[in-house]
Amino acid sequence: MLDAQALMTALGEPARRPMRLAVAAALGQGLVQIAIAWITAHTIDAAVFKGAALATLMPQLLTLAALFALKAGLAALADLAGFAAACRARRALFARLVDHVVALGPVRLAGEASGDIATRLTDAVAAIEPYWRRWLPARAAASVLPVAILLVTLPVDWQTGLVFAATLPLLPLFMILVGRAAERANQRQWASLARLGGHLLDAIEGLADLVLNRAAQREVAIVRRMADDYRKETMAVLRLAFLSALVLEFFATVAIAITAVLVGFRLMWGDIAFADGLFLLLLAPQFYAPLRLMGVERHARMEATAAAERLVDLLDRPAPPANGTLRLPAAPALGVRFDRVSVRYGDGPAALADVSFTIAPGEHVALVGPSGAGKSTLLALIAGFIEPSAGRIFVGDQPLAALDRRAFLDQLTLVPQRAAFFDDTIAANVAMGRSGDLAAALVAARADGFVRRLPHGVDTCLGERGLGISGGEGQRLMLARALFRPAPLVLLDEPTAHLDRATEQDVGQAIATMIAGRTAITIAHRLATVRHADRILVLDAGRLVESGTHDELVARGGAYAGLLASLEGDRP
Amino acid sequence: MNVLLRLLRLYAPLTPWLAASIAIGALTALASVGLMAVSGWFITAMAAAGLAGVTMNYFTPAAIVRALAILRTGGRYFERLVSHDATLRLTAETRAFLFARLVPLAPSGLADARSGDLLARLKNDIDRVELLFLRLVAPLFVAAMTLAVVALVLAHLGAGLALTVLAVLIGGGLLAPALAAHAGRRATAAMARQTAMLKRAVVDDIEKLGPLIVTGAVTGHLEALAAHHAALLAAETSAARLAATGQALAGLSGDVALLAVLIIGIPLVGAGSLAGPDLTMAALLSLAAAEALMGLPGALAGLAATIASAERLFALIDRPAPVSDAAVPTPLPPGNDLVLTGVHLRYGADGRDALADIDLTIAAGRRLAIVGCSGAGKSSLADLLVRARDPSAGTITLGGVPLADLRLDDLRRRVALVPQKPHIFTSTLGANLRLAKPDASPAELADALARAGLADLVARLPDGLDTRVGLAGSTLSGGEARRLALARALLADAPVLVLDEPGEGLDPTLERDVIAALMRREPGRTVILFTHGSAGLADVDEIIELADGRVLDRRPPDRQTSS
Repeated sequence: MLDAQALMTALGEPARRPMRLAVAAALGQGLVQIAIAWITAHTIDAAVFKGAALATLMPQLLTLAALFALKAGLAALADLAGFAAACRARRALFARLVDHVVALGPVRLAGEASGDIATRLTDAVAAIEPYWRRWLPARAAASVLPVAILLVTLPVDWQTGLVFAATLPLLPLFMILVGRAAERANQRQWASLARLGGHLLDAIEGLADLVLNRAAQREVAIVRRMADDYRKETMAVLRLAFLSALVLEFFATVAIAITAVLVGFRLMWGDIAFADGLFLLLLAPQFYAPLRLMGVERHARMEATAAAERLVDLLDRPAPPANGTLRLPAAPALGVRFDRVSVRYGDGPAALADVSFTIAPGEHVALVGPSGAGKSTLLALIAGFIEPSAGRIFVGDQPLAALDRRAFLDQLTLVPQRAAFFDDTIAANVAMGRSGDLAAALVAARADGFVRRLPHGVDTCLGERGLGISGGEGQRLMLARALFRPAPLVLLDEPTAHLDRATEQDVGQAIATMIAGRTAITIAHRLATVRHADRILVLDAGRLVESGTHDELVARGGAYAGLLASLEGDRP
Repeated sequence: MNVLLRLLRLYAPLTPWLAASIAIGALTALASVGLMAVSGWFITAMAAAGLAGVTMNYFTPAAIVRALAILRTGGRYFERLVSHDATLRLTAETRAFLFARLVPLAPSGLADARSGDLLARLKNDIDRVELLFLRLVAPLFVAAMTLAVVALVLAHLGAGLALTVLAVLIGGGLLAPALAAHAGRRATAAMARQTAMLKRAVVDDIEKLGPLIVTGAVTGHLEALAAHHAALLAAETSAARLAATGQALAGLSGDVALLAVLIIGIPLVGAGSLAGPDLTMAALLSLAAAEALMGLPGALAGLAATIASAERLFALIDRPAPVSDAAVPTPLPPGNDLVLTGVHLRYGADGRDALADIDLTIAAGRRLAIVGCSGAGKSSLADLLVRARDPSAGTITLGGVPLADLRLDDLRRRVALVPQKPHIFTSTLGANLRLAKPDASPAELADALARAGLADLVARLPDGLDTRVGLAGSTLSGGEARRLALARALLADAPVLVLDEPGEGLDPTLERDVIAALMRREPGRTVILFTHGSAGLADVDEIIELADGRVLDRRPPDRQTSS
């Protein structure tokens, strides 16, 4: 288990050097401040009580001016160095997260809105910034500067030093007590914020359905209610979070007041020099300022930690085991063997239970069964998006788990059920960064006709949901993507759905050409696909119930025959 | 600036909260400044009294010091609470307002805005706009009030002193950060753009992770993501540099004000026209007053981004609604005959003609199939029947009343559409179902599920209708999602049911059963089935074939089944 603090520490490694600079600048700024207070007090003392003229005091005033400039410079430096440190940490974190998301793959991430994951990868990563930019410098300043001021104060006036020293240990104590409770509440707040954002996106994405179902006005009320709930939760957090600031504020303010009153009376009695008294009064707020700042930035740290925790939650999800190294020899077709394979998602019922079969190289197999039978799970296993909970899978006589994944994927073609396009041109969506013959792929997928009719041809940009092209056209482009570089093992998920009858026949021929001489595993809903298959695997509720050719299974009169009767009733 | 004013108008209902927040803030800031100033005056006066060997009234200043200390402590806590509460109230107000303004744009007015983009923009923009009060408006008011009081106090000691300090504080604390912010506008705009682009790219890649991995395009896309992220950080770095400069100058302003007080005040003290305690007070007053300005540089640096966000939000909600309610809606007529006369539809100015010369009468109770190849105009025609769009020319009437004269909600109560790509909400099965009829009884729900062929699935689930369907319905298969949308429409029980490709993604048995169940609706209920398949065609009264947006053929069903 990774925890947020461990993650932050690990990320601190690349950020180390700028962080040191930021801390040094923050400390330097505090020390300059002490010098400023000293010179200011003595200058006023000289003017008010020793009758010094402006000209006599010029050296002091010029020194002050120089120190002011130095302080401002150090402040800017501390901020920028902290920012640079945060940038390095963010870059490292982003890379790590993206890699992990890819390692998890689409099936393990199903059940989570892409918007929610995107929020984590962007907003949550950005939200760790204050930890470096503000919290760490503030913490360093708070642990060094009060002690430094105390060391300066004690020789000047031990009584004031005592006031400072007495309050010092109380502060962290109170802050820890209040901070713990606030931290817990803060985590709830983050979950609530993500829910709020996710809900808003969901509602906007489904706005068409809301409007058509006359539910949009109700949803407006829900959006308001959720934001209002968020306010209440957040205020509960802030009431606590601001308490720690209140404690600090209280001590700082009381110390200034006590210092002023004590010093005032002792000045009247002549117990202390005015310059020393004013110096102490000027130092009093400085003494508490770093702690106050840390109290404020504590909130920044809590937010950063809470964000990190949501990332830890993602990073903690087990990704598939380390990449294998085996490479399959180049072959025109690949065999597939399942050896007592079971898959279970979470605590649910088995999606696949004890399934064994062997598919010979070049064989064309159709998967049939009611929805939920485990057909998609079977394809996801072969594509490596998930691993079996039990049993083993062999491809080309090698265990799938031992294969070099990247090399294996080169030997795999997947035609998904739903068309999915990137915000890019048709050409880019078909080629997907690979080299090959675009025109041939479009022709083979029978997509050349409509693409030619588009205003910009293959350079037409597609929207996220295939804006501007119909479902059938989109499906043909998905085929073109597969046909662009056909591989020895082809996985198809309902490839002819979304196509009208004429196109279906066209595409059917295209697929037949693509899979000729290759191994093909097809989730089939259409009779034609099933008939042409060398073998049919019938799945039901995660189990392989029948296997055989069309004729064999028909003769057997089992589950497939039942399915077939309804299929055949559909077509004259 | 107009944008800001428009944004501030959103604040109107919350004026009391906002005013209270500013008032408490100003009071607290003044207490803080006063504490240092009075303390400085007090110790100088006490020292002077001690040197002169006289006593002075120390009760009043000591009491003032204590009072200011209490005011500062409590004030700061309550100021933060009230200002945050006010901000979160604004949040709720703004979100509901924006969402309500998006509603009239759906379904077709938002079709071009990709969801990922919309999310990235909306979330960031809304967040930023919501913080305008907390980050800028309140600190600006508080700073102005504090400076005014400080200037008034200093004016008693000397007009030159007051003016100089005011000039230094305004120049360093307000103008310099404002100039830095102005210089950083481009960086901030780039930051907003990069954030949106990054988010869109991430959403895009995650949604299509499968094809990315299988095709090997993932490597290139990861590099692109890293580049997007680096570009975002680069834009942030430019902005951070300017912000740090502005912040440093603001911090410097208090110090320079102190220096100015000393340079002007020391000769005055020498000349006897300024009392010693007053010099200390003026010095500490000026130094502490700068604290009230410390929040401004950050706020000003973010102002350009906030304005850009507000502009984008307003541009989105200001889009003309593709369809709108008639000014004086006609009540729903008793009849449900749909009549299309000379209907044309063209998308945009240079788009293809999606529909042309459609003349069609669909009598109430008819079972109609509208068939055609993909791209023939089926979805466009379905959209017109529920006024997702209006025809470019021609009219459609329901029971003799033009659709445009009806209230949209009334029309959609009569005519229900099951779209080709229904959205399943991140909620429970039951909640998705009840969308169409929130008060549906369990019997009605069960009936709708059974007719949509979902009864078995729900029965298998341990939590039944309370099963969460995952985000955007991702735990449902395509066919299940479609059947859920069908069940939703059946539950609404509209007199006219329009189905856009109801069979897609269903296996053939189910497709046939589901369509047969739909066709068995009670007499008088119209069913319009848009399909490219053959399932259910035997049960309809008439088949209308569309091609290239025109009616190609109308025929009774028997001819289709023999082909």
